[in-house]
Amino acid sequence: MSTDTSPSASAAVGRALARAPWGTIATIAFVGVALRGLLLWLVLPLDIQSDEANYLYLALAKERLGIYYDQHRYFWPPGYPWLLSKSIHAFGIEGLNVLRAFQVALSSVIGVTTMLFAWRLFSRRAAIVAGVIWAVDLPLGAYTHFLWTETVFLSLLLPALWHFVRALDLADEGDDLGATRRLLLSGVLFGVALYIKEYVLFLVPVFAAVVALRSRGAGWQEALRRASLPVLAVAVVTLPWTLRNHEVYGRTVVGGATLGENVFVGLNARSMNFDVLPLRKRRADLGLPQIETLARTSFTEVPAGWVPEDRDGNGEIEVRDAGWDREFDAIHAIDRHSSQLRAGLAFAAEHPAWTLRTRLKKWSELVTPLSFFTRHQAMAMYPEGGVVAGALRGPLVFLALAVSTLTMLLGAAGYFLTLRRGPCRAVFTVLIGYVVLTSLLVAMSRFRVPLEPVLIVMTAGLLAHGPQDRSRSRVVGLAVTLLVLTGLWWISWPETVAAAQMALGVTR
Amino acid sequence: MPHLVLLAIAAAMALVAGVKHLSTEEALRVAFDGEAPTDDRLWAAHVAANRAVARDPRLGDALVRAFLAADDERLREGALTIDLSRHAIHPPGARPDAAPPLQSAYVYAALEGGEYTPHRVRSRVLFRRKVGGSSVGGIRRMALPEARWFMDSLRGTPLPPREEIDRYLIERSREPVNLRKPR
Repeated sequence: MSTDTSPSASAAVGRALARAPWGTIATIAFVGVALRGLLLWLVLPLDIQSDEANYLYLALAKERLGIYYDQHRYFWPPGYPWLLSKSIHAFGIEGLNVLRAFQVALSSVIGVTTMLFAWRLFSRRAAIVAGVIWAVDLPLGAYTHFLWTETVFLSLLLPALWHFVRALDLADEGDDLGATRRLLLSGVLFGVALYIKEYVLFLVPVFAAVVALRSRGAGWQEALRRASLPVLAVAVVTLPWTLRNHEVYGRTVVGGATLGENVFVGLNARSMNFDVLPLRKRRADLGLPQIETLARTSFTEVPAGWVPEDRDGNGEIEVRDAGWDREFDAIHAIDRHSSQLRAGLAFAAEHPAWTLRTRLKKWSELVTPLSFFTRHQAMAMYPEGGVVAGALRGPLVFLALAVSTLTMLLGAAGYFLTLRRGPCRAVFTVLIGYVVLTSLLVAMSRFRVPLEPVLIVMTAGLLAHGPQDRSRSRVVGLAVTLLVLTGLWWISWPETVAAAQMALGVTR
Repeated sequence: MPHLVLLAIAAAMALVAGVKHLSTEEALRVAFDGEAPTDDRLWAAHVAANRAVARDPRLGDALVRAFLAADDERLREGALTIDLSRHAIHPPGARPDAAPPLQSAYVYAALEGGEYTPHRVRSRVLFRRKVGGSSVGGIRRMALPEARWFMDSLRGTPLPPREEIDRYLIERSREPVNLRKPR
């Protein structure tokens, strides 16, 4: 088992990379892709839902008018609608399924990289365990048949992280040219990922700081040279889109612009849980009380002393009447950010206790064992009479819930007790922190997706090797993490149970 | 060395962008130019509409009328997108996110010949199913049948009879308001 602690250990990793168990990795990746392909075949025909419709609208408009429009409340990067438009251009509406099949194949990149991380950090045995978990990871696998960006995004993000970690390894070995190449490649992949999701926009500078800190032994000039390389690569890769935006808007927009709307949704009086909100219609059809009525109100109710206004003008005061409204004077999404950010922060500052308890709720929604697979099941999106919504429904939903729950629990244990210090741990820690912090505004199970491969890797390390470090600080760290995780699960437990029951179909 | 190469690439891209830059005045001229190619007019309208930081009657009224009166169906459909819809001039008292009146009148006008033409289907989808919700046309997102009809309309595949399309659209529009996702 590699210890991942020192430059010499990193050098050993580098030398051993050529001996990665490629045959085993490829075999497991093939099995994982086959399972996803089988799942896709079983779930078709599949309607579009939520943001899938928005992506498709953009693709249709691009196909017909040749222009990429914004989304009025958001301005998303163009990569995914572009992929969709190419697919429907070539295959008509069947292009949606062609893109799904493409995502199934592309998910092999996620599987391979996950196994490589487990192998690099732990061992061949851990790589096999990680591969098996990835293969049956239904919450992750289901994104291959959704028209959300997650599969394509992860297929770029994980290799970017892998090459970034390898760059740190090579720098430790003194292989400057190799490290430079890897940093460049990593930056290019981060840049391409930004065309799919602007999520990593602020992650790259943080990683650059990691490079600078780890390279400070080589002198600050060299540290700066290394650290600036991925940032510069990202800037160049995204420059065509940035220049296009400058031409269209006359203002600089890097990647996309979603902050203003996320602030509106996340720092506002009403509570919106996107793992359960789309279940409203289905619950009404089934004669069930709406899920928000089941929530622990301490974490969802409007601020004390705040008097809601009938902002939507429907004659009723409802929770959906926001604490503050969108900026109507600014007609473009890109121009609403600053004023909406100000309004959201002012609202939060005015109601500090509300801000605190609702942030706990956001984190609770981030770590919910639910997933978009269970959400699709709960919404009855899968074909009625088909095996996924029929005979296999219960086992698959249990599998999805179990994978989410166990990878969080065991992943936390693996992080504290099995994962050793080193560049990879630093990168994983930064990523975990980034996901947790960005979820302070809006959270749902989908926002946990960038962490899921990391959780799989750490789970695999623990299962393959058991606890390796039982020092007091690590045990306390794990205990605190598990306590927090349990508390967060408790916060959203009523909604989780209700949504899980719907997914299982036991409410009928 | 890689830094220099990257900077050189960036400089080259910025140079090309500078050369291809379209001024706002020129964009407005091209957008209104009935002799200009459709793609150029659509792009010019896109640029002008997005550079304007406030509602502009030249875009929300005059250009919409010009596009809707054009022979080219793509131009007429271009008038129904977010770009020009958000420049709509509303009657006094209307919410700023109300549906744009010119486009609404066009999309919901009586069907010529009693059937949905491919252009009418595309117009419905482009106008009603705008991403982002009610402020610019439709509150409900597109579903698969509409996307299929849209693509069929482009590929020359026969569309369903009017009754089927109407029934579908009416059913969708009757979804209870209180079940909508909060705005």
